[in-house]
Amino acid sequence: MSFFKRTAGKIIFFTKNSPKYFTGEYSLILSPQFYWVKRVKLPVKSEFRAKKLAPSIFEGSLPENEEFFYDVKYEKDRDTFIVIAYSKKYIFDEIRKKIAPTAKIKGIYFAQHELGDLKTCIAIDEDISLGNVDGLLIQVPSKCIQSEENVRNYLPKVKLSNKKIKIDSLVDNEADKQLTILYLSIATILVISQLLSYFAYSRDLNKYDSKKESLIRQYNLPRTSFQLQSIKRTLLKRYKEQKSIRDVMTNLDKIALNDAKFIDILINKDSAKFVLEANPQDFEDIKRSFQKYFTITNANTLDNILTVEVEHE
Amino acid sequence: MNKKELNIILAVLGVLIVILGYLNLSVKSEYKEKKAKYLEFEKSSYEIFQIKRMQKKSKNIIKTLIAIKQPKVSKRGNRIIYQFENLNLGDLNQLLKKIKGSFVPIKSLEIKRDTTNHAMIVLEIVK
Repeated sequence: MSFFKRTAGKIIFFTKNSPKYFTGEYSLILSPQFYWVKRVKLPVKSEFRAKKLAPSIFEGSLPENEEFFYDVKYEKDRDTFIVIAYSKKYIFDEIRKKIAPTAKIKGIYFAQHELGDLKTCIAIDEDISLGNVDGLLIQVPSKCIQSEENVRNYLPKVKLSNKKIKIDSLVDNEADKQLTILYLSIATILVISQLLSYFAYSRDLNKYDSKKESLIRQYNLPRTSFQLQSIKRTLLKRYKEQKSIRDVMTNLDKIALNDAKFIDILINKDSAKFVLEANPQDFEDIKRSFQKYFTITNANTLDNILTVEVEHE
Repeated sequence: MNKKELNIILAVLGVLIVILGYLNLSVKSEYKEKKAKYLEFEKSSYEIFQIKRMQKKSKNIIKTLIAIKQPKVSKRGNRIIYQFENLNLGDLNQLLKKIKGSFVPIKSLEIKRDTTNHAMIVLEIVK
């Protein structure tokens, strides 16, 4: 089901003498000069089967080294077939000479099929005319026959059939084809880049596996990150405890003691106790000095003895 | 090759691009995840290695301490207690400096004044 009517564009009768077309949409009716026609009686009834026999009908009468295609039309009243042989390449080459890629070709038809019911001779241009000889159209010089009508006047009356040459690689599709080839090239490049990227990442994934293996062997480590983290946590905890003890020892050197002297220093993993002998007047200064570096949890005095208990992390 | 065939190839390539794109995305995210895990693993390994190396060095420190002053050694469970007595100021400072600079696993450290000019260190370490 189609919602839009497909237009055939302007119908032109195409000969080697046709002018050049640069823009617009056209349906070309090919002059008989572009193909070979035969009327034959065949032992088949369908056009499909007749088409299969077509190459043998033209055997020996067509130029060699060229690929030919065939079209068949059944004439019911005569019980014969009109068989057309044509070279797509030849036709396309001729069309390319006259129809610019910017112009669009909607269809290519055979004059034999489209104008087969022509009763009189018609002039194509000043030099050539189209004649009908027993139902077969022929192109003849205008001076040989008397043409009563011009093809330009006749064409608007023509109702195009569905017998046309497939234009899958024709002039108007050339630009499309080139565009498709461009898309293909881009797509191919994309596929290749994606593939390369995929393989590169896959290889790097394995690289990390082997690197990890190497680390495990080098440092004699457990295999899983969970075990590793557990070991790390334990070691870091011990490291922090030990560092804290060293920090206490370092900070002790910074405490302003005035004339006081340590009697006893006891440092544990999270606390420390300092016993000092000092002038009682200096006790407060000494405690303030301790406060700069530690959190005092307890402080006692007895005569000239000061005991300070601190905590550290 | 006609346009129809080209279009079919283009469509196939399009599908390939989509499939490969999806595969790429998954492999990329797997790669990122693995890289992050590896870097974390590497960092942890290095830290563990450093800590273990410090601990190993600490074993030699005890020998150094003993060389400075012969201590009394006693054991309590998994702990070893080194008691350095009758230390003059020089020995005291030298021992404390070595202990501070090492990573010997201290359980507790006590510094007591023995007499006016002498002190003692009780160093309790974990085996």
